[in-house]
Amino acid sequence: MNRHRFMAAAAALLLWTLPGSAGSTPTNPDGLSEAGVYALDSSGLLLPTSPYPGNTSSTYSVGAYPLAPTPLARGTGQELVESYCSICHSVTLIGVQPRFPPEFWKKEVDKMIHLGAPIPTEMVGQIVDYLQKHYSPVKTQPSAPEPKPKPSP
Amino acid sequence: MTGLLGTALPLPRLVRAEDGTGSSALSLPDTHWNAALPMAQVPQKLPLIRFSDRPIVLGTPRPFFDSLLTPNAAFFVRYHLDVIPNAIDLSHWRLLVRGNVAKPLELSFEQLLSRFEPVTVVAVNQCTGNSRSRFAPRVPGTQWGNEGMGNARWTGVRLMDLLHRAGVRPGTVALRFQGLDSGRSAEGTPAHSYAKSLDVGDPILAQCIVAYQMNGEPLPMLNGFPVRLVVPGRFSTCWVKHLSWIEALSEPDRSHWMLEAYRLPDNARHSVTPAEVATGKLATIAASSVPMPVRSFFVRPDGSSKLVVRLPIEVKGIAFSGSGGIRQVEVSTDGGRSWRLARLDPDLGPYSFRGWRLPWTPQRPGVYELRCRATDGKGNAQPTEPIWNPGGYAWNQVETQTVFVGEAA
Repeated sequence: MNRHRFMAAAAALLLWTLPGSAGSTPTNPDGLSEAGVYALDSSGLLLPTSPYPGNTSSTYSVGAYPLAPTPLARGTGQELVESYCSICHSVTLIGVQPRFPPEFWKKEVDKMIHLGAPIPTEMVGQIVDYLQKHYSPVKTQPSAPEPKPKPSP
Repeated sequence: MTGLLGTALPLPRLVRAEDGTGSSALSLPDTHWNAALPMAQVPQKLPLIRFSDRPIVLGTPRPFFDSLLTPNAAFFVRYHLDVIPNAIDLSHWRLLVRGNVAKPLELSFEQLLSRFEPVTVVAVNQCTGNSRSRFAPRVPGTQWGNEGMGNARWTGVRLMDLLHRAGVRPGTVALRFQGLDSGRSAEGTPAHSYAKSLDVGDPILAQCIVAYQMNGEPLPMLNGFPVRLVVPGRFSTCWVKHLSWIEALSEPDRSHWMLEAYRLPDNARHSVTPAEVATGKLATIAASSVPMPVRSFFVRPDGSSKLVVRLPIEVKGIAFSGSGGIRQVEVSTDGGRSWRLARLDPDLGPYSFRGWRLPWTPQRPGVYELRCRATDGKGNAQPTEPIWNPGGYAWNQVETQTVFVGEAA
């Protein structure tokens, strides 16, 4: 609701500002090279959390924590991963990992089982297959070392 | 979205939005300091960098380190397990001291306030895996930039006062700390509960406090309300949140969280090679048993703005160490060829961030590599070379900040 209104407002702003944009004239006499340029990107919007109602009791509550899992890649095995991995943690954790080599995902699933994940033995293969297919490097070259992390540029 | 909130938004998104493909050819500002992830807002917090929504893992955006004390609303959050308290009733809550003690204690919040002398320490709380995303080859875990840390003024009760009151008996080898957070896996499995132990002979025990106040306020729920263990100079892994049980153990703690997780290579730099790990003969120590290695960071400039030639700026940053505070911070503006001493800000204590600053006027347009290197009270200096270990722990390489200096005419 809120978000839709926000996006509509942003879109209106975009249309409103484009005609007035100085973007097409790079050398204005006043030095202004570009102004009033927007790109629609709703992923940057944040909805505020509702403040929890105040009271003077001995109970200190912050209300519910917001849950907004980043969806997994679509594919065979996705539902198994969602079912079993989500018992203990959101699938958001999977997508934020670097693209690890396939053998890594087998080790990671084994580690989770060691930690207590109740994954039936017959499901392990399908879960590992899914993770390897969607969260390992696209081309499985013999583990090319990742470039040393350096600050951008 | 103005002011602080505006500056705290991740910069890469703005650039990405310009061509909509995510493959911009523009030179990006330094995306490395903070991970390029979406922000999320949770109760009692400002929008923070979201690593995970369940369990909650959030990082502190870089501009908040402009303040030596990290605001509570911006302080990073890291849970292992997802059953995190939403509400705590202080009329029922008790801190228990039990196990191998002469007189087990059950203390209410009110008793902690009224029956013990309050003490205060300013101390850095840093995740053992802070900066993990810099390890090459990459290792699993929260892919922190530098946002898994914060500095706060903690007030509470001395751990030793509690232990003396309870009378720890001979034969005690360790003290185990456990909080109210737990996990959904079966009881007895590692992901069901999180507890950490410190050796009974560890001198750090004398510095520990059970904190009920953070920067002069109650702890935010996600930073451990109502009390958390503060272990100055050590990694957060042992700063147990929602602390409710302190247990004197007469046998060593052999849990997953002590013997398998949070293990560092047992050498001075905590560094090994993947090949050495593969031999399976690696000697390790608990990360909770060693001081945090010395580190320093640029807060400004942060690369988000192009600098202007011959326009003076103040280069500003923070440094800390678990070993005797900060002795000096050196800054290089030429990629490490020459170094100048930065001026240190007033000292808030040996466990705090130490602010530092250096005036700088770039004399020529171009791309500059700024570096900062701290030396701690024990004479340890940050290494120029990276370290590697399988857990992605204890990173402390010299930081580099790339800045662009533009022409003025």
